[in-house]
Amino acid sequence: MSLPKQLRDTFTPKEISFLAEQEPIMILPRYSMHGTTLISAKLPNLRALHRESIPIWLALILKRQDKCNIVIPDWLQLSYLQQKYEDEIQNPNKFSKLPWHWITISKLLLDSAVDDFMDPVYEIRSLIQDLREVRLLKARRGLKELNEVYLQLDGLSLIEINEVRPFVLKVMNQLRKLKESSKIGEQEMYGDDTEIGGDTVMSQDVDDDYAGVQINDSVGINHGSNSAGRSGAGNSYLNDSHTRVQGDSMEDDDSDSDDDIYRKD
Amino acid sequence: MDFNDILKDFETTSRSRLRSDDTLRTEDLQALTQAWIQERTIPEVLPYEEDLLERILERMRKQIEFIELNSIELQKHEREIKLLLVIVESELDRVQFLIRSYVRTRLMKIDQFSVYIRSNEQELKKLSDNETVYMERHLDLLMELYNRQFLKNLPESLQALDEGGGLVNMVEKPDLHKPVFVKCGENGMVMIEGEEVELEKEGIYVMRYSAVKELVKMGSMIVL
Amino acid sequence: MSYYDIDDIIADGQVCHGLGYLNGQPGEPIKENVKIELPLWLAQILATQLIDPSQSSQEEAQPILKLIEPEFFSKQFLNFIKSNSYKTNLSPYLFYYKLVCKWANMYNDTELVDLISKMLVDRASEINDLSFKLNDQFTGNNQEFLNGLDGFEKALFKTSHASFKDLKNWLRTSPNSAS
Repeated sequence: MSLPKQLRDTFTPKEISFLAEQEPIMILPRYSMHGTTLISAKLPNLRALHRESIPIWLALILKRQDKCNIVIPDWLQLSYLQQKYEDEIQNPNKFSKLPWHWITISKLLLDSAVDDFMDPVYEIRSLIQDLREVRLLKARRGLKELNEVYLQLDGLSLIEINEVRPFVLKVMNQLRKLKESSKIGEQEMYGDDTEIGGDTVMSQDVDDDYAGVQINDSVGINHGSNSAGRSGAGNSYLNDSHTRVQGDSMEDDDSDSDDDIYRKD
Repeated sequence: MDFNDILKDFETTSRSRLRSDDTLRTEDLQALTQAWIQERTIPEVLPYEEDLLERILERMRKQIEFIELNSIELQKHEREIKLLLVIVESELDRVQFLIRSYVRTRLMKIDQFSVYIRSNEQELKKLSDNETVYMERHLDLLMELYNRQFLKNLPESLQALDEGGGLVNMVEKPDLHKPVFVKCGENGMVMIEGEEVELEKEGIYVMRYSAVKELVKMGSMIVL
Repeated sequence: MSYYDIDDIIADGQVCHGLGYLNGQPGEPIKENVKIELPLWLAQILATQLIDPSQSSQEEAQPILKLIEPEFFSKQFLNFIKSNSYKTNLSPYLFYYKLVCKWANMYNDTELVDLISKMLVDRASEINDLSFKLNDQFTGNNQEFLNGLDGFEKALFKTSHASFKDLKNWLRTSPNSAS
């Protein structure tokens, strides 16, 4: 097929790295050089020891040819990362604000520009490792609250999102299919449109001999408590399932005591 | 003097044209990147970015010319040209990767949903001319294969490939309820299953595509 | 459900029991109240066909077949799931979740769906945790759990594991000098 199966669910780390390489970064040219026009933007004339901002992929090429030094971004310093690590530990329900591509960019720079770092590199590496582990644990804990309506994950970086993407999408999809399968019959009884072609004969003629829960109520049930709970500011963003008709929901009771791992303050 | 004024005018306009040309280029690349991400994550085929790709392909051709011109005289020039060539080639590779992957993803979706796209005016508009030709030929080949292999041995009433009734629809439509990851540009609200869900700025959500489709089109949400 | 999806087709072929209500017609081999095994797709159609379509009143209309719930939807099984979603062994059923969808579709069984959804979430988070391990050796309980997954869960585990592994491997490798 045109697109191999593994690419259909999510992006590969290399592709994410590709995206990260388009981000701009500051460099310190060591020699002067003429600029040129590129497809994406003009490469400016480089003057020695005058800082310029260029995309990372370009900076890496120049670095490899020994034509420049890379200015390590502010967030990749020991003090900043240590502060973020503290934040992560103190807020077990929130993700600290890190740059969108922090893991990718740090890997790229640590691999190619070791000499440009001010702080000891091994310390930075271990800090990054620690940060990643803490955040990963938090993410895994939060995934336990998955439901088929929606999920909120503020503060994660692109790679971390990409990591859990296939899992989240598959489970959410399956949950949704489960929920929809029991709703279709009800929709057809009330003459609504369904997107999945179902056999109309079935739902109308099914006997009551064997049926789990009979759908008695009509369509417009509003979950008063739930909707009020959701739109308020400091409330849980973890929804229980919202089918249109609900006898009782097992998740209703749980929602109050939820971990609120994704709650935003 | 008049002449100087004219010169100055010319300079400023050309400089601003250049500058806007620069920003246009960067924006174009970002647009291509975003289009690529969207095609990969969204379950349906999106409208083909005709103009964008035309512009980028045009620039690519110029770069290829540049490379060819300069690499002939490579031995004579200093190392700087070599480095420039490396840079230009690398960027060319990157843009080519984006375009190829973009087209491949679209082709995969077209393959999957050929029968549906063919029967629907709106969907057909989303394809480029080349893609439409591709789809027709692909379908023809497929139909011929099926016919020769086994369809002709079936009774006529069962020979159709695009029946809608019955238990399962034969025509495969893109499943618009698949969940996608999105990031919110501004505060807003979304309806899912009759319930309202509040969205916060800068929040990252996972929800079904059908609910956020309009917002994504308008640009207030980005798919990740 | 897609027309060409192989998983769907196999799932449809799963067998369940039917109870015949047919009045004996001459030449018709099936007698009343006889248990027969039917594939799901056939059972689905027959269960909704009335014996006599000309009868207008609903109470008198009788379907040809009455479906007996297969064992994996029985009360005991469901109770077991409620108490112990991890231990349930779904591997003999291959396509448990698809079957649940089809069954629930036929009978509008929201209770069943809620229960199964909860089970899915529990088992899925367990799968997610387990898919972190890079090496493929799992011990004791975990191995048992992994053996008891149905088709969908196994695929889920595979993709999840692959995704984590890819990322870990990529983070570990250093780039070559060539671009």
